[in-house]
Amino acid sequence: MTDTAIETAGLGKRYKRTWALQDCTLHLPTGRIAALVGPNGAGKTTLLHLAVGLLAPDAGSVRVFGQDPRGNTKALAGIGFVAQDTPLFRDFTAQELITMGGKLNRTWDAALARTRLADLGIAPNLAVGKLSGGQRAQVALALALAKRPRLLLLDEPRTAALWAASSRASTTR
Amino acid sequence: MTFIGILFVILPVFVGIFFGAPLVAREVEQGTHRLVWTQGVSRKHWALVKFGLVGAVALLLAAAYALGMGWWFGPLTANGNGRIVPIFFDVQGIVPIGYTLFAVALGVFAGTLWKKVVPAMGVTLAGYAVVRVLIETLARPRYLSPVSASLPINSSEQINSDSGAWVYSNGIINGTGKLVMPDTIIHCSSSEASPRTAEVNGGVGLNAPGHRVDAARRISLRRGGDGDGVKVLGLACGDGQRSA
Repeated sequence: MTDTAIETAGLGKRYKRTWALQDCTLHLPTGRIAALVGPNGAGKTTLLHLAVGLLAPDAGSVRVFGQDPRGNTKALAGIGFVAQDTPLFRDFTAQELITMGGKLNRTWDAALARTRLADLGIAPNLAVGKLSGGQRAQVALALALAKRPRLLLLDEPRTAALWAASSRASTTR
Repeated sequence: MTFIGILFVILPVFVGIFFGAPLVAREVEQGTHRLVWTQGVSRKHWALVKFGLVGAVALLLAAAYALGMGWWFGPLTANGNGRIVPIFFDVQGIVPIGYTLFAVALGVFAGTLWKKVVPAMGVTLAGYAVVRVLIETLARPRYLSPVSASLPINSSEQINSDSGAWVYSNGIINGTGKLVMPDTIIHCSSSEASPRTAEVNGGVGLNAPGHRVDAARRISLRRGGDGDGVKVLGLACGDGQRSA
């Protein structure tokens, strides 16, 4: 597979007058695990938010599998994204979050998420706000994987480490 | 009882504060927008379902509230001020439904703009109060020009309190049409009013014992609130007693 997963050209994003990301041109092929490294405030999160269409670029362009991800449900269906601090609806249980994901996505592998959490011994009927931070990260990762995404974007080092370490990393690519 | 009355008047804004304001703001504040807006459902779809659901619940609550208040106020308005006067008008019929939906929309708007729940709630409350006061003090009295009616002081006609007119002001005018006593109502019995003065003043006159007062009452009406029909009032006469 030599397809392109993410391609950006002269990408820039500005918050008021400060540029968070400027002149970013990159080419990320499929079939790879790539790490984005940089000091705090380098624009890593901004780049990922641009890639999942949460932000609109102020300069340049970003394409995911050749498509503009912004407002594009087709492109978003192919991206599994775990945001920083693994945001989840804290009153929901893991089981409810899996149900929610099923209603918000056309392709959804609920069984994958369920077995993954069961293997890790995470209670499916406990509000996720009561889980430990590491367990919440596992729930967020399971939700991202249940989309069976072509591209997995992890903006949370903890989930990235969990995923890389998990025995399923090679099989759920 | 007064407290309950006030509570009912401000109830619509609470729907906006607690249902409308957190709708988008809480999502952004807790960061969960990054979860829900990156699923396979467009933001427009998400917003339509969310706003539609909250809007529908608010509509149902407001309709139940309006019907309940109409039932509760029915006997009071029939025997009192009519249902067009401020406060009475604002808690019945379609008015509270409109207010409630407006408050929800304002809350959603404020929450989307400020992205923090508590400031959005405050903005909703303040914005609602400002709009509400402006409508009541500036807009509503100007929808239609008032209808003025001058009636002879010895007329046997009476103000019909059941007709639902919004009485803006009333007072006594003399034979030349000059306002001599604002905010006053005079009663006189028609038997005591002399036909002579009535002739002289073209049906506007009063002959109280020992005095001669040429007077009529001027009544200004507004068309009922935001669209009810105009009702013309009559007036009552007594023995020169005054009641404000």
